[in-house]
Amino acid sequence: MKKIFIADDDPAMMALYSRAFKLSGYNIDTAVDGQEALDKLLVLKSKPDLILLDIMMPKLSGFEVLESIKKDADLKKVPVIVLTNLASLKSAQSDLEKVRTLGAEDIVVKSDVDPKELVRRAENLIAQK
Amino acid sequence: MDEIQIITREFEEMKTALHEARAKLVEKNTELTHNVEELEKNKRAITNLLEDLDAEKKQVEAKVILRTRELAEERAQLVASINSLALGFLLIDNNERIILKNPAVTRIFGLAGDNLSLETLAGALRDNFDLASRCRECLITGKVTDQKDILFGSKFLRIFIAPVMMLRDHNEIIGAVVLVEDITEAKVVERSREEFFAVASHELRTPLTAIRGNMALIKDFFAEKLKDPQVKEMIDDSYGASVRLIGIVNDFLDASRLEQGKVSFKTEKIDAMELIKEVVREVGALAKSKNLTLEVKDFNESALVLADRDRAKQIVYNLVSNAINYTQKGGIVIEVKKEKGFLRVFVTDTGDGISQQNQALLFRKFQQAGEKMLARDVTKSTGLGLYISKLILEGMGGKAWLERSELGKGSTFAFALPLAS
Repeated sequence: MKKIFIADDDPAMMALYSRAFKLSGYNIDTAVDGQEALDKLLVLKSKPDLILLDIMMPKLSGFEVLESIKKDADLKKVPVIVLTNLASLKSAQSDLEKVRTLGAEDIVVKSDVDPKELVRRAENLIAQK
Repeated sequence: MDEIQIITREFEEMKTALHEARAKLVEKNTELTHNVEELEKNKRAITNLLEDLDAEKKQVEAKVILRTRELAEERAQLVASINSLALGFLLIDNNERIILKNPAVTRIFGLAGDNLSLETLAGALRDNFDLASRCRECLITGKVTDQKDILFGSKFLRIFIAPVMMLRDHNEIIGAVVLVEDITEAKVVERSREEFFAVASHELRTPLTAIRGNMALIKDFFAEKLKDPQVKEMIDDSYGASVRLIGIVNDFLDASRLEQGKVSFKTEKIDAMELIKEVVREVGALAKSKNLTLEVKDFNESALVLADRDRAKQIVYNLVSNAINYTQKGGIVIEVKKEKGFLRVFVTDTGDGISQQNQALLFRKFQQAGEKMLARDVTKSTGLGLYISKLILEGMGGKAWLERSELGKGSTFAFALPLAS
């Protein structure tokens, strides 16, 4: 069974995405802040098939976690979907560019994308791997 | 005998001479009398003149007194007005001397004294604003300065400097006016507003997203469990409402950022026709569901414009979807024209049309094109769409307007963007 790693500090969003991926037949691993996410990801023996990474998180931001992930030999192959709820993509151009530069595979504005669509995008990325 | 004759002749001659002399005297006398009369006449005229002059002098004196009083009143009114200003007001002459200042200057700068000089004020502002140089520049060249956010202690100031000109004397500069505004309070309000929107952005959208997401999960994964059509309907309604609410929050934030000039626009060369066709494909289903035609008129020239692609698309999307939303039968035609360095896009519908009085309210915040202002149709929009489109177009060097509208016949909305070539 494929595994999705979700890093988000908001319990409601965490519950939503966990539920959506579980309902779609995935295993779930989670972290509630940036530091926990990075610590867990680095020590995991079997790396996840995809990482969902929120930008605004305590301790370490999603940007910082992403930067470290893409520097790690094993983790850098794992596709990352960055989650943002700061604004619409239109007005988050600088965030978008930063995320692309740091090497994320996709970026999603949480309020604009339904869970099923997010699962579909994740499936596509996993299939392309 | 001879002697008598001689004497008689001499006597006669003397008599004749006397007669002549008398006649001359009489003549002289008449002349003198006449002269005296003339002099009398002149004297009367001069007296009259003097009297007139005296009256005129008195009138002029009265006028001078009145005008002096009026001037004093005007000055008192001006000084009172200047003194009552919340803005600091300074009038300086060509020698950079302060010739008039109001109490607000003292209050804002916390510097007292009648002998306050420009140097003292410039010194108080330190490196944050070079008051002396700016004033000098204004006195020499007439250059106007308007600078905000000047830090002074714990205050933020706005300083405006403008020349005082004698318009009749070839715009001769005779001094300068310096206005000082304490904008600390405004800055605090602006900051709280920004904080509010940052909080609104995150704190409102996150729970809304959770509601939307969970409703979507129920619809997508538990459809077969929703046997009761009423439950299904309630879920659908809740999902629709959450999507709408997220849209409203987004519009609020978008408008707020645009108003504050916080949105940067890319300058890209984009094909407006391609963009229009893309939007038409996206909203085609909506038009079809209402049995409306949706036509893009052919345009065989280059339609390259300079704009931010995403933002330009947002505008086309807004105008075309508005046209579909407010049209019950008929259809929508989109036409493109070139004019004076701009590409103009016209979106014409066969909808309800807008009355004259409501036309004036378009493109303002929270105004819908509908006829009944109190009966707002909240399902159609937040009333921010046109306002946002207008702000975006202005940010990209374009503009938006209502080309024409007639009640019952429909409307044509238009916008212009600068051509790329």
